[in-house]
Amino acid sequence: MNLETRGHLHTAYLVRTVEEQLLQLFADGKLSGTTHTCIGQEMAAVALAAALDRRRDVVVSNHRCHGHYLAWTDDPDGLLAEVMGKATGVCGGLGGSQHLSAAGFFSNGIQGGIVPVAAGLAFARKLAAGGGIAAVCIGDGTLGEGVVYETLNIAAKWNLPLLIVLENNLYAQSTSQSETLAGDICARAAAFGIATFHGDTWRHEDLTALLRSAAATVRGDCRPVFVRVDTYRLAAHSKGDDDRDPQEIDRYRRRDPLNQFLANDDNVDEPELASIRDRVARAIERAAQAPVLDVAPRSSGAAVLSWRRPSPDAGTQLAAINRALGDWLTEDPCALLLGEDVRSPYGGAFKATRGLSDDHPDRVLNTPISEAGIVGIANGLALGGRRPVVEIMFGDFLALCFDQLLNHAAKFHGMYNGRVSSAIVVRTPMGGGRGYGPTHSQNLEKHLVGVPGLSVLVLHGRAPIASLYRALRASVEPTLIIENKLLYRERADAALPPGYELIETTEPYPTTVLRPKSEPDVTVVAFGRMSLLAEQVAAELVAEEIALELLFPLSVSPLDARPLHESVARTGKLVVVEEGTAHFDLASEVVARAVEGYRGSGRLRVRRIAAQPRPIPSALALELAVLPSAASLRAACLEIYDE
Amino acid sequence: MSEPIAVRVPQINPNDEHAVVVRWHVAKGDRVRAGQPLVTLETTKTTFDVDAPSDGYAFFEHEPNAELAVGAPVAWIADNDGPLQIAAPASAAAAPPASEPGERFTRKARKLMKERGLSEVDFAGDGKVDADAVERVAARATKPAATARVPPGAVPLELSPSKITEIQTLKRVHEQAVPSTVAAALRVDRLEARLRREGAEHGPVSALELALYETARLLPEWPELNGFYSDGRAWAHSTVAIGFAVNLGRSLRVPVVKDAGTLSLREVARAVRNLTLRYMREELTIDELTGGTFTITDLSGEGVVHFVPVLNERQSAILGLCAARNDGSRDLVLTFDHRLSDGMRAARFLAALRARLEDATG
Repeated sequence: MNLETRGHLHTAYLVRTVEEQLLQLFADGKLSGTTHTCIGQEMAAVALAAALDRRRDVVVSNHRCHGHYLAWTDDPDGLLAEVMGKATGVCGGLGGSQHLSAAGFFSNGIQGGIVPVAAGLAFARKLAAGGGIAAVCIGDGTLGEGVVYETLNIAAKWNLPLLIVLENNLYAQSTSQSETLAGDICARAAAFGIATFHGDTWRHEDLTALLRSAAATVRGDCRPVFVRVDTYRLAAHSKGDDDRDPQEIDRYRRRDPLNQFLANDDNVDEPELASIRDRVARAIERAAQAPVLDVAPRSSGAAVLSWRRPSPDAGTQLAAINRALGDWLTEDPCALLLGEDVRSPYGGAFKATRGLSDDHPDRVLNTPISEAGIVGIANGLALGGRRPVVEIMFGDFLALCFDQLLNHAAKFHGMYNGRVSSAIVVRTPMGGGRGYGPTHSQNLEKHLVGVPGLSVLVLHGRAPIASLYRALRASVEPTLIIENKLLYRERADAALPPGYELIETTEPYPTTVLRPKSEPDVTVVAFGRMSLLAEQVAAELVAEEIALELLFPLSVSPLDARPLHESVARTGKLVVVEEGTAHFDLASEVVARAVEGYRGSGRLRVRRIAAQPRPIPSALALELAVLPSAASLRAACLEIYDE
Repeated sequence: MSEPIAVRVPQINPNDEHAVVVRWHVAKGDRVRAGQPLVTLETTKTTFDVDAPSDGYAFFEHEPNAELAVGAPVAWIADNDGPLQIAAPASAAAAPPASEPGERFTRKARKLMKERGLSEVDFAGDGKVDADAVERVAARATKPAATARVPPGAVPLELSPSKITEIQTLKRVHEQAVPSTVAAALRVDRLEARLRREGAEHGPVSALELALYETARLLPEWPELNGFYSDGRAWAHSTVAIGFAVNLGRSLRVPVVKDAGTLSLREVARAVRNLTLRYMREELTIDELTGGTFTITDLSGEGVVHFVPVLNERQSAILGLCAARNDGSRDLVLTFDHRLSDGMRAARFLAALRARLEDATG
C-alpha cells in the first residue's frame, strides 16, 4: 500500500469517526434535527478531493456532505461545531449538517438544485480563465429531478468546466433504484454529448485515478464530464429509516474498503488512528464549550423618514430598463445577462435587452427554455463573484424556478452566515391587459413576498429605474424585479394630476408618493401598474375636491411601513390596490402593518381592490372584468371618503 | 329653457340664521311679476315679505311653518310652467351615487351637506357647488354642536331655530356678563290703588305699562342700568328704549317702546298695546324689535311669584314683574350686570321704583 492510499484511508477513517461520533451524539440526545451519514461511501469523497485543486476548484455537495467537506477541508472542528449549532461552526451553527460553506465548498439540502448552481460556479471559473473547475456530487436518487437535465444540456452546450460525480448507492432514501430508475445512468449524460466514466469505491485507487483523469479532461478541454461512482451506504439514509435487507448490508459491510483496511493489521498504523480519534474527541469537546451565535432581531434601520424630489428617468420605462442594463454591463465587467431570446436581433419578448448583445456579445446569453436551470446557473455565477441578471420571459414562469429563488438564492447569504454574496437579479414582466390569458397575465407577487433573504421590487409607473439599478449593484442578496407589460410604454416624467407633487423616500428602493398640496383625505397604496389607475382616479377626484395621497412602494418585500404610517395617521382611510388576485394578498400585509403602527385618531378604515380570484381570461372584455379597474378604485375611494 | 332662478331666504339681521314660512301669497305654478310678494317669512324678531326677483312662474316646496336656513332657496322662478327640473334630494338609504360628469356637487360638497344637514334643494338653480359654497350656506345655518358626554338614554329635544338663536345670543352675553339679582316686595294694595287712580284719569293701565313708564323715568338717573359693557369698559345708552317680553302662543318676542322716557303714561300704554296687537297679527317689523336698552319681563300672568330674569345682549339690566303672594306682596326682581353696577345701587333703584309704583295714598 503506497503512502497516498494509506493517507486516503486515514482521511476516510476521520470521516467515519466524525460521523459515528455524530450518530452517538444524536443517540445521546445532544443534537437536534437529523443528519445523513456517508458511512461506506467515504472513498468517493476522498478520491474526488484528491483529484481536484483546492486553490482554484470548487466542490458543491448535497445533503450527504460530511465526507466531501472533511476530505476537502480537513476541518472536523468546523463541521462538528456546525452540526452542534455553535458559533464556532463553519457557518456559525446556522447551516447545520446539510448547509455548509467553506473556501471552495458549498452544500445544500435540496435534491437536484445544486447542479445548476455548480454549473454557474463552473461558468464563473471559465469566465475567470484561471483553469478552475467545479465538481458537483449527486446521488442516483437525484436523477429524478428535471433541473439536472436542464443543466446537463446547458453545461454541454456552453462547454462549462463541470465535473458531475454521481455516487450510485442504489437507493433513493429507502426506495430501491429498481423501483425508480429507468434506462441507464451514464446514457443520460451521454445523450447530451457529455463524456462519461464509470468507477466504484471498492477499487478506490482506480477511482482516484479515474477522477483525476476526468478532472483533467474538464479542465483541459473546458467541457463537462460525468462520472458514475458505484458505492454503498452502510448506515441508514438518515437515522432509523433503514428497511434494506440486513444480509445485503452485511455483504457490503464486509466488502467495505475501510473495514477491510482496518481488519488488515499489517497496513494499520494504530497510533495514527488513535490520534485521529483523539482529534475528533477534542473537536467535540471544544465545540461543546463554544458559545451559540447571537440571533437576536436586528434593528430595522433608521427610524427617521426623509424625503427627496425624484429625478425621473427620461423616455419610456422600457427604454430606462434597457439603458440601466446597458450601463451595468458597460461599467461592471462582472455583470452579465441571461434569458430566453434576449440577444439581438430579437432582444427579449418585450425588447428590454434590445441591442445589448451587440455591445456585449460574451455577456448577453440566450438560454434554452430552462427557467430553473438558468436561475440556478445565475446563483452559481453570483457565488462565483459575478453579477448575473436573468430575464424570465413571463412572470408566470417564476413558478418553474421557485426552488432556485426560495431554497438557494434566498438562503445562501443567511444560512452560510454571511460568508457569501448571492446577489442575483431576476427580472420578469407580469400583469394582464394584453389578452395573454390565464398563464401569461398573472401577478404572482403574493407568492414570492415574505421570503427572508429575497428582495421583491415591483416597478410602478414612477419607479426610478436608473437609481434602483445603481442601488442593486451594492446588494449581497438576491432581488426579484417584477415589471409590468403595460408599464413598459409609460414615462416616469408624465404630467402629475393638478395640485399634486411627487416626492420619494431617500431609501435605496424608495417609496414614491404623489402628495396633494392640500390635506389628504384618503391614503391609496398602489402596487405596480395600479399606480396608473391611482393617478387617474386622483386626477378625476380633483373635481370632487377629494385629495388622495398615493403611495407607490418599490420594495414590496421587505416593506417600509413608515410612509404608510405617516399617511394614514393624517387620513385614517386606506385603500390598497393591486393587480394580483384578491385575498391573502399584498394588501393583507399593508393593512396589517398600517393597523399595527396606526397613530391616527378614530378608527382606521380600509378597502382592498384586487383582481377577482379566478384565472385571468384571454378575451379582452372578460379580462377587463376580472382585473381591477380605475372605476372600482374610484368607487372604493368615494365610498371610504364618505364614511 | 334656462335654469330656474332661486329665491333665497334673505339675511334680515345678523343674529337670525333661520326663517319660518308664515304664508304663501301665490300658488305653485302661478304666473308672477317681478316685485310681487311671494311669501311671508318670520324671523325671531320680525316678519317680512319676499318678492319675486323676476317675471316667471313660481314654484316652491316648503309649506307654512317650515324652517329654512338663511341663504337657502325658498322658491324658484322658472321661465315656463312645465315640471320643474330640480334634482331630487339623495335618498338617505341608497348608496351615494358616484358623481357623473356634469355632476353639480363635488363629493366633498356632498359630504359637507350631509354633515351640515343640507340637501340639494338648498342649492338648486346654481352652477357647480363646491365645499366653499356649502360652508357659506352652512355658516348661516350652524346648529349647536352636540354636547359631550350625553348620559345614556337621553332623548334629544328639538329646538326651534328661534330658540337656537336665543341660546346663542344669551350665551354670548353670559360668557362676559357678571349677572346679579336683587328683589324687592311691592305692596299689592298700593299698586292697585295707583292703577285705579291712573285708570280713572287715562283709561285702563296695566302693571306692566305702569312699570315701563316709571322705569323710563328713573333710568336717566341710573345710567349703569341702561348701559352695556363692551371693549373692556362700561357704556351708557344715549336713549331709553324699553323692550317688553311677550309670548302669547307664538314664539317669544321683545318689542321695544322707543324713547319711552319722553312718553306720557297714556302714550306708553298705547304703544304697548299697539305692539302687542302687531305681535298677534305677526306684523312686527325689525325696527320695532331692535334697539332696546332695558327690558321688562312680566310673568305675573303665569302666577309666578318669583323668578330670575336673564340679561339680554347689549343691556345691563332687566326687570321682572312677579305675581302677588298670599301676603299681599308682589316681587320686583332686577337682574343687572355687576360689571356696571352693584347690589346696593340696584337695591336703591328697586326702592325708588317701588316708591313710584305704590300709591302712597292707597
